[in-house]
Formats: sequence, structure tokens, C-alpha cells
Amino acid sequence: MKELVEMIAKSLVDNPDKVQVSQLEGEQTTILELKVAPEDLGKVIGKQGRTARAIRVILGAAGMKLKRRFNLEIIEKT
Amino acid sequence: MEKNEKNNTHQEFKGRNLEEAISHAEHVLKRPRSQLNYEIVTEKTKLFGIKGKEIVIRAWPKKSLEDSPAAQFLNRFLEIFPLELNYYLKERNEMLFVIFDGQDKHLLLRKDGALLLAIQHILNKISEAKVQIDCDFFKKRKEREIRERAKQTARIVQETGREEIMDYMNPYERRIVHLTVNQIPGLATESLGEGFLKQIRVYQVKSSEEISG
Repeated sequence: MKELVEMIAKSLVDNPDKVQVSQLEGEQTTILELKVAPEDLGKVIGKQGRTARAIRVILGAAGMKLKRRFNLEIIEKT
Repeated sequence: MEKNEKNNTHQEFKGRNLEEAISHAEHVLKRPRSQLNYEIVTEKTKLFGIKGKEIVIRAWPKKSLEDSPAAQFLNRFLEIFPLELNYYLKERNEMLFVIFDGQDKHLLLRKDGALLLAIQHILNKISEAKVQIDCDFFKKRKEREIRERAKQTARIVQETGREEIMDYMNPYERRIVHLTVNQIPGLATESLGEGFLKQIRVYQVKSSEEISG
């Protein structure tokens, strides 16, 4: 699922080489940490968080199929 | 020199008229004219009319839909997305239409098409052309449902004479409501609030006869 978030994020941002996703496995939940360049933060979040919400919906659907919960955290790369 | 270099991927074709030049291009590029772009390079009447007119065009194949950023994204996306989905593309009036199908299409339509709209949102961010996604006539069914709701609200306003507020809707849904209600004489609509989702107020207006009288 890391690959999916990475692929979506890379197609949205101006600096695809600065996109980084790490995956933390919990018991029932997988946390996906998406790091992007500060100037790209708005691109992955979107107006009123619509883009971030869209990515979460996509993850949710994937999770339903895979019977696992995925959480997306967006982090500014410093 | 520079100009020639820039256009060297675009071949030139001659003919006695445009029709002939295009047919020539179709033949050489092995594409029907609907898939070709062309521009006229020169058009002249030859001296003394011995050979008549000559026209030169430059023609090149149109980019296919499969080359569009949206299609490239979808191909990569569907490779790693665990749902079983496939799609086909259509282009109309500068808009790109993606029609999904496949074993897992019911998951696209759950929760009022949440996944469908999410993928559409992402595609619109990366595509130059506006993208609309559909699956199993979801859009058509949704539009009909909103129109029905708008008409029903309009009937209530007409019967009671009081205004009605319709629930939060996105711009696309609001447009359908505005268009539907404003077709009914004596009624008007107005969006309320700020942001992406707004309510709509449906209310009665005095007809021009009533005002003048």
C-alpha cells in the first residue's frame, strides 16, 4: 500500500524525488507516513483537505478489499 | 534553420487542393484524417496556371488518449490498487471521460460514489483536460435523483408559499438544482454559505404581473 500512496503523491507534487512513504504495521492498522517537501504540502492536502481526503478514501477502499485498516499521516519534510 | 529543426517531426504533403494534400497525408501516415492534425504551409497559384494551384500542408498524428497523463496515471494506479477494475476512455468537447467496469465496481459506488469521486478528484489534479468518471450510469442516476428532489422541494414551496432549505450539496449537484427549479415560473434559488458544500434556498418570487399590478 506504501507503493500506492507513493505513486499518487508523486503524480501530484512538483518535487517527486522528495516524496517518502514509510509504513508502520500495527495489529489491525497500518500507518502510512507520507513526507513531502514543504512547498508541496498544499498539493497533497488540497483546498479544505479535499485531496488528502480523496487519498484516504482510496486507501479505505483498498483496505476493505484487503481487510485491513490504513491510516494516512501527512508530514512536512524538514 | 531553427524553425526547420523544430518542425522536423511534422512531415509536409503537397496537393492541388487541400483535399488532395490531406489524402496524401492519410496515406503516408496511415491514419484517418480524424486522427491527424495539420496546418497549411503554403498555398499558391503557379505561374501562368500551367500546373494550376499547389498547396503544401504539414501533418502529424494527434496524440492518442492512451498517452494522456490521466491514462498513464490510471494504468499505473490500477496495477497496484488491489481492486479488480478496468476502464475505457472517451474524449468529448475537450473533456476526458473514464468509464470503469470490473469485478469490484460496486466498491466504486459505495457511500454515494465516494471512491469514484475520490479518483476523479486526483485525476483532475494531474490532467490538463477536465476528467469525469462514471460507472454503471452512476452520474445519470445521481442527476435524476437530485432533479427529483429539487422538483419535490419546489412543489412544497409552491404549496406552502414558504421557503425551503435544501441540504448541503457540491457545486455539480447545486447546478442541477438551480437549473431544475429555475425552470418553474415563480420560483427562484440561492446558494447559502461558504466553501465547497453549500445549502440551497428555494423560494417564491412575485411574477412581473403581480409587481406591476
